[in-house]
Amino acid sequence: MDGSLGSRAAVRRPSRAEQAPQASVFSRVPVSVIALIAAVGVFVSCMGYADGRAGAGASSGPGVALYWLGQVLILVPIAGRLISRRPMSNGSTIGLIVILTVAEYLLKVNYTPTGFGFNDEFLHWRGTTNMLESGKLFELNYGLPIGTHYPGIEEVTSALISATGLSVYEAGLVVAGVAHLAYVCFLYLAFCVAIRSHRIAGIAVLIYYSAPALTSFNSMFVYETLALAFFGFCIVAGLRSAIEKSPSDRRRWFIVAVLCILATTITHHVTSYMLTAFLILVAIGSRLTGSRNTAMRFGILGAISAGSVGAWIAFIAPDTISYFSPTVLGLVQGLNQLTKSGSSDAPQTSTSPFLNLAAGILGLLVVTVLILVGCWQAWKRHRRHPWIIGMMIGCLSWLGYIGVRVGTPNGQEIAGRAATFVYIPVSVLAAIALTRLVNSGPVRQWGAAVTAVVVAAVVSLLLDGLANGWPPFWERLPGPHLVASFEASVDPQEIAIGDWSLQELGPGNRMSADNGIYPVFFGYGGQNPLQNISQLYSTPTWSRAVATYANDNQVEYVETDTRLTKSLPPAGTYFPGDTNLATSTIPPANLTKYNKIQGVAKVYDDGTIAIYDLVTQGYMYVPPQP
Amino acid sequence: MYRRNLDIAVAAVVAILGGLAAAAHLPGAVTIPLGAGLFFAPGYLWSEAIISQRLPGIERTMTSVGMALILPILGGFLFFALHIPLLKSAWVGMLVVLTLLGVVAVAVQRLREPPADPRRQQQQRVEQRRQPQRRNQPAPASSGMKAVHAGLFGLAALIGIGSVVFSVKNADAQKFPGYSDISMTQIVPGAQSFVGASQNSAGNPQASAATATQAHLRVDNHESAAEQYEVQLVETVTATATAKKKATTTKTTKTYKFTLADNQTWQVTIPFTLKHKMVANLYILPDTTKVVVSANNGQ
Repeated sequence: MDGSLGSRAAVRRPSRAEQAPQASVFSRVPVSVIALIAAVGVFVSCMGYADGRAGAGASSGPGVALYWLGQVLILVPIAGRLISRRPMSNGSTIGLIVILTVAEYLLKVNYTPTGFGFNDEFLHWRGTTNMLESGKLFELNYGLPIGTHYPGIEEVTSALISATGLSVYEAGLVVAGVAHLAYVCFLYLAFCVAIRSHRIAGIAVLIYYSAPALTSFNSMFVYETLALAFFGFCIVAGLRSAIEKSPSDRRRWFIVAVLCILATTITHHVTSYMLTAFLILVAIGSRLTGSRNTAMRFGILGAISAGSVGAWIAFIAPDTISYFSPTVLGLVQGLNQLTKSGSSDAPQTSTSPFLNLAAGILGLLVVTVLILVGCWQAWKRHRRHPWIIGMMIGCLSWLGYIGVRVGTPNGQEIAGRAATFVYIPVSVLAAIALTRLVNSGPVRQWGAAVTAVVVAAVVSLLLDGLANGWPPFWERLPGPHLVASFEASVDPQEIAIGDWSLQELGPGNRMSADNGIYPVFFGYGGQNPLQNISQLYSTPTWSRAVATYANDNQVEYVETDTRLTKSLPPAGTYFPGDTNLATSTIPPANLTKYNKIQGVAKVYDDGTIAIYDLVTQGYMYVPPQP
Repeated sequence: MYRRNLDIAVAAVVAILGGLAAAAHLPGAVTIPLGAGLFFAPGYLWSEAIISQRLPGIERTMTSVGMALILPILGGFLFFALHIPLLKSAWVGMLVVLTLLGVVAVAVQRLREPPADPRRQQQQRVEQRRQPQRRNQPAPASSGMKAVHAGLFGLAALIGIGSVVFSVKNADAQKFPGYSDISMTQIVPGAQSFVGASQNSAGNPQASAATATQAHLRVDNHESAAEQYEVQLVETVTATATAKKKATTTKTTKTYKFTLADNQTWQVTIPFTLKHKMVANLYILPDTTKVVVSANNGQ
C-alpha cells in the first residue's frame, strides 16, 4: 500500500451504504469523453456570453438558454458518472472533480476575459500593484483597508509576476485558478479520509458545488480563494498527522499543518477563524468518540490556530474588530428580530425572479432533508468515527445559515459567503444520505430510473447554487452597460476614467461615485471612493446641508453619470452603502447642480460622466443659513 | 541513484535558469515557462524534504502546489521583518535561494534514508502483477485505448483553450458607444491628497493647488475612429471699471487643432489661474458651433 489517502479509503471493503446504485447511461462513459463533453459545454456557455455581448445582455433569451445548456452539458455527465453504479478508481474520481472545477473556472474567466471585472478583484489588483511598486507588505489600500493587513495573495502574485513577467491580471488568474483547484482537490482528499470511500467523497464534493459562492467568490482573485487552499491543505495535513503510523510521518504532517495555519492567518481573516473552529470541532468530535490521540492533535492545532489569529489581530490587524462589528451586530439584530416576530425588518436591496427564489427554497428543503437522513445514518453506522461525528456537530451551522439567509439584511450575500464553510459538513452528511437512499432495497428495485432521478435532483441543486450565486440573474451574461451595477457597469469607458484619475489627479483622493465606477476608482484609479454619499445627489440645489455634508466628509471630487437619470439600477441601489431600494431615477438637476457652484471646477467631462473638483482649486462654498 | 535524484537536479537547473531569465529580462516565451518553474520548484523540493514518505502523483502534486503557495507568504513576511524591500529582485532571489536550500534539504533527507532493497522491490513488483483484478475495479485500458483517451483529453483541452480565445476576441469586438473627453487639471508639484483616516486629518494638503500656475489640458479619443478636434481656451476677465461698474471681457486666448486616432491622447501644459474664469471647449471638426464637452476652473 502506498501512502495515498485514496488507497486508504479503498482498503476497507465498501459498506452496503457505500455501494453504488443501479447502472445508468453514464456508467460506461469514460472520463475522457466526459472531459470532451464538459469542454463543449464550456464553449456553448461562452456562445451564450457572446450573444449577451452582442447587445441584449442578460435579457437575451437565446444567450441565457445557451449558457444554461452549457452548464447542463458540464454538470450532467459528471454528476451521472460520479453517482452511477460502475466503480471508478480514485484517479478517475479526482479526474472528474478536476474537470468540473476547471470547466467552471473557465466560465468565470470567460465572463470578463480581457481584465478583472468583479468588484473584489479590483481590490487585490490595487493591493498587488501597490506592493510591486513600493516593495512594502502593508501598503494602504483605500478600497479594502482591512485587506492591507492580510497580504497573502498579494505576496504570492507579486512573486509569480517577478519570476515570470506576467501582468497582474494574468498572474492573478493563475494564482486564483491554482488555489481554487487545490482547495477542491484537498477537500476531496479530506473527505476520502473522513468517509473512507472515494466514491462518497466524490459525491460529497459534487454536492459541495451547490454552495452558491464556490464558482464565483471562491474562484475570484480575492484573498479568500487563496486562504481556502491553505484551509483544505491544513485539514488534510491535520488528518494525516493523526492517522499516520510512523511517529516521524505524523510529526512531519503536523509541521505542514502548522505552516498552513500561519499562511491562512496571514491571508484571510474569516477563513482563519473558520479553520480554528473546524480544528476545534474535529477535536471535540474525536474526544466524544474516544479518539484521544486525534483529539489531542487537533486540539493542539486548534490552539495554535487560535493563538496565531489572536496574535495577528493584536499586533498586526487591530482594525479587524471594528471591520466586523457592524456585520456581526446586523446579523444579531436581524436574527433577534426574526425570532421575536417571525420575520425580519431587513431592508431588501434587490429582488430575484420567482423561479430563482422557488429553486432556492426547494434546494434548502432538499438539503435539510438530506442532512437529517445523513445524521441518522451517521449516528447509526459511524458513531465511533470522529470526523463524521465532528461533521454532524458542524451541521448545526445549517440552522444559522438558513436564519441568516432569510432573516438578516443582505442575508443572501452573507449566507452565500458563509455557505463555503457551512457546506463542508453538510455535503458530507448529504452524500452519506444520498448514497444510502439510492442503495436502499425498495429504491434499488427501480434501477436506472432511480439513478436518473438522483442525478437530476443533484444537478438541480447545482443549478440552484449557480442561479443564486454570482453574477446575479440581471448580469448572468456580459452585455451592454447597466446603471450602477457592479460588473455590468465596468466598461472600457470606466476603466479609461480610472486610469485618467490616477494619472491626472494622483492617488488617494476622496471621491463620491456611483456603484458602477466605484470599484474602478479604487482599483485602477488608486482613489479613495467613499460610501454613504447619496446625500450629495439627493437635492437639485447646492443646499447648506449638502455642502456641510461634503465638508464634513472631506469630499474632494464628485463623479456624476447622466445614465443615472435614465434608468433604475438592476442591483437595487445607485450608490455604495445605500440600503434602501431606489424607486425612481435621479432627477437631472441633482447632477447638473455642480455646474453652477462658484469654486467647483469641472475637471473632466466626456458627455456622460463628469468629475467635479470641490476643494482643491479654491474652496467649497457653503450657502448661508436661511 | 542517478534517476532517484534527477528531480532535484532538474528543479535546481530550472530555478537557476528562471532566475537568470527574470534578471536578464528575456522575452516572455523564455521567462514565462522558466519563471513558472522557478515559482513552483521550492514547493516541490520542500514538500519532498518535509513529507519524505512516498506519495502518489496526485497527492505529491497537491502538496507541492500547496507548499509553493505557502513559501512566498512566509518568505515575504520574513523579508518584511528583515526590512528587505519586496521588489522584483528580492522575490526572484528568494525563490532561487529557497530552491537551492530545498535541494540541500532533499539531498540530506535522501542520504539519511536507508537504501531501498532491490530484491524486495522486485518481489513487490511480482506480487503486484500476480494480484487478481478486483471484481469492482475497471479493467486497465489497452495502449490503443490509452491513445484514444489521450486524444480525447487533448481535444477537450483544445476546446477549452479555444473558448478562452473566442471569448477574448468576442470581448474585444464588443461595441460600446463612442465618446471624446476633455480634462483640465492643475499641476501642483509635490502635492498629495489625504492619506489614511482622512476624516480625522487636519486641513487639506492639496490646498496649495489654489496657487497653481499651470494645468494639463488633455483630450482623449474613444470614438472608434480617427477624429479632427479643436479646443478653444476661453478666458473671462472681470475688471473694475468704476466704483459701481464691472467690465467683463471674454476672449478665446488659445485655439488648438489636432487629429487623434482611436484611443489616442493629446495633452498640453497651459498657464493656469483661479483669478478669472477659464473654460476649455472641445469641438469635433468640421462642426465648430457645437461644444461637445468642456472643462473649467470653477470660477
